[in-house]
Amino acid sequence: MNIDKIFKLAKGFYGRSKNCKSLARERVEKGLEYNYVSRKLKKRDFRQFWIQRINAGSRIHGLTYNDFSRGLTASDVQINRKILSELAVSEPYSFKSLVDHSKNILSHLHKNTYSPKEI
Amino acid sequence: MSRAIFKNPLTASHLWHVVDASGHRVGRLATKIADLLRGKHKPIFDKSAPLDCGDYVVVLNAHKIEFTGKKWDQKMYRKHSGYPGGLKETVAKDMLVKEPEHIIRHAVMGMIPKNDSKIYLGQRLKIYDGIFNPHQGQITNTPSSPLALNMGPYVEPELNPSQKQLDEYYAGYKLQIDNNSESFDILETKVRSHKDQLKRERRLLRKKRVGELKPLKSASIKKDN
Repeated sequence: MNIDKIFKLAKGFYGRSKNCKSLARERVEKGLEYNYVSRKLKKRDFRQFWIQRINAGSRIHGLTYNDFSRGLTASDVQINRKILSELAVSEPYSFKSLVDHSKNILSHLHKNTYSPKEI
Repeated sequence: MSRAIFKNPLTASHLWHVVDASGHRVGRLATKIADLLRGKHKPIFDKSAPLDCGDYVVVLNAHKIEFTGKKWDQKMYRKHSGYPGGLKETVAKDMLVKEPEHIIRHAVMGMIPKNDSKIYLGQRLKIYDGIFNPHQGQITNTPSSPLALNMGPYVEPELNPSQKQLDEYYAGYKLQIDNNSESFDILETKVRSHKDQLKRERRLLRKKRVGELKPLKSASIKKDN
């Protein structure tokens, strides 16, 4: 890579690795490797993040994430986790209606033998 | 991640939870407190900003906490000064007299993720020996929220099992029971062994089913060779 491009990418690095040619090249190459990995990790991290929020939102109304999502999939509601978490944060009433819906579905599942886990 | 939520004063303000520890079991209470400190009960939970969404917890009556089993005699609190022979051990029974706050704090701090924010989350946990709550003035200043958890002393759950549940629990095992603790113990051990036997039988059945498939494959391979 051209050295000018490397120094442009090495701006703000710690110590001599922003001024020295050889050190900057090393750090920038390693940084680009991390960049590549974290582009993959981003998808997993966000999925985790959304699930944590949905779980907190549904626990307020007495359902765990596990039971809540089971009720939704059983009734073929296809809202993804990103939107569900946004609903849990910004529109609590519409989220509550979804929780009530999945509660209703759970009560009909397995001939009334399925009981959600107590929180 | 989504930081715009924290600009809202209702969601950004730290809540105060008051917990009366009397009669509660240590671990069961500590899981709840650890979740409150991190803010895991809020829909705005963000693990990258635990100091923004975490709450304050006040624990009262720390000396009335309870352990199950033989933990009062057997559980040890250890610390080492770093010098040879510098290990100090205190039994949980003595710790209750010496420093009852430490029992709860030790349990909670073990349940918080081990990173830089652990110290600051620990500072938000206030534990007191008596019933007096010195933070009452601070609590009244925060907006009231349904998310605030104010727990009283421990109440034992009522158990009214139906006949069907009892049959399920004893797995169809019947014995004449006198109202002694000894006869109950005998019944429980017998039921446990009976249940283990049932489990073993089920496992054998499962293995048999797998075994039925296996010889077919191995036989076909042998024929090819």
